[in-house]
Amino acid sequence: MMIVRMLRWLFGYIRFTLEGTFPERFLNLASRRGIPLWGLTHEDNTLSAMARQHHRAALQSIAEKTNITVGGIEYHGLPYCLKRYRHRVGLLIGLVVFGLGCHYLSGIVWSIDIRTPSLLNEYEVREMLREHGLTEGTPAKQVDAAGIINQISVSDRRVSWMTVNIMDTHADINISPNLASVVQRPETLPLSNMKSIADGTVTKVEVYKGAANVRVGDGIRKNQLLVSGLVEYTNGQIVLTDCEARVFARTHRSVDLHLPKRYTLPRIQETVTKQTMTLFGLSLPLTIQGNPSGTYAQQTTRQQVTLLGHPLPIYVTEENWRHYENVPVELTLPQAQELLQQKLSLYEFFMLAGTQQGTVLNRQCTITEESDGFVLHADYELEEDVCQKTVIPLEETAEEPASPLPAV
Amino acid sequence: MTRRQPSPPPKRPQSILGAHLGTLHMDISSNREVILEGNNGILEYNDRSIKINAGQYIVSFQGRGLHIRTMSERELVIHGFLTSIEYII
Repeated sequence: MMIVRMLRWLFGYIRFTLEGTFPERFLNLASRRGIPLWGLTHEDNTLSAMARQHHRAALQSIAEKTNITVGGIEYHGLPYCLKRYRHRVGLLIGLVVFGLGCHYLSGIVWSIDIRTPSLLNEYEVREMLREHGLTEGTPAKQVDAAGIINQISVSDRRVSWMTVNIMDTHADINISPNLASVVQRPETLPLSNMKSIADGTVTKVEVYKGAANVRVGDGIRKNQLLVSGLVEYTNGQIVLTDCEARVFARTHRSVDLHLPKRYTLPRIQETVTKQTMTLFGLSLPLTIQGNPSGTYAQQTTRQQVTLLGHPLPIYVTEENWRHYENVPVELTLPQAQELLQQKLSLYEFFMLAGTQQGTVLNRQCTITEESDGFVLHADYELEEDVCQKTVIPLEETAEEPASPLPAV
Repeated sequence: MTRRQPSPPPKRPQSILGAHLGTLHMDISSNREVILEGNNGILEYNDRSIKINAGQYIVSFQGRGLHIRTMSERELVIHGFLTSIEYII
């Protein structure tokens, strides 16, 4: 039915009304002459119908014969549309340009979807693809997928294998990492001991390789041997090994953080926003702003424009330039407390990052005001892994020249 | 002076079934649509009643909102809410 409607529209049709005493005769005669009619409706003693436009003359003659008045003729379809817009050349040119544009744009790569492991970031892969001729705006027929795969796999050792799939206007890149390029195994395993990095009391001992020299409840000092790499078995065999162990101990730490009374705080003086639109690799500035001078902090966000969930090759980049200026201020005690707490949070973050799975059991902080500034004193009670691996220098001792024997 | 005889009307092509039986052939879909093949013309047409000449009898369709969807030399499609079909002999 859809095709029939489309054909009727393509060839053009007329809609007309019939007024008279016996319109059924008109219909019968039209049927006898092989003129197809459709959409016959009867409303308010008026019959309306539709017919092909080239049957119009024949219908007029039937109407005269049957004493029926054919009126209200409306013309529909493509021939009448073309006739109506025949003087509008711009419309025709626009249609042609639109068709050519659709044809051209359907043949180029609009978006590149990169699935890469953490070993290679997306920016690196995008740059590599750009060097090998695949970027947004590249004609899809010119993309040599096999060549790109070969060249990148050979030039970058981190790539184990990769796929480049061009699907219409979308490029799908999938990369698998070469883990062998990252993991560097030593040729010979070092022989090592485990020593303590702090004073404290042992709370937990986990020895995987080596011989433990401490037990739970023992007090330990800094640089004390906790786990030995020299293991003596019950059969008398002695083996040197690379220790693997974790010894947790309750330790104490204290820190003093100073803050002068006259302090300089960074304050935002000016914010400049620049917007750039990138279309098929061509950057177009949306705002008329130059790069500001002085001390600025820049924050850039890049967003891909999507249409109904489909990514378009249009990126909008927004750069926020914030001009900071250091302003000297006289700190009050509440301000100093706030700043010192921030510093203490940073200290704890890095201290705990430096320790191995450490947890803060107890913390006591005191802030005192002195003549030149404020001091925060913090005492920590921690439970942390106090093991530190120290390599046993066997080769150096072996190469040492033998001491001469004392003369007898 | 001899009067020129009018040429006989062209023979109407009929459907295979209609030509074989020499009668009207109807396809009725529920009470919504009727497809007729081999009719001899419309005798009455309005939105409540459509009468079709089937040669030796008349078929009358009664209903609401009746209209002829397509009409060609061979077939006729009636659409609407049919309430009765009557054969008038």
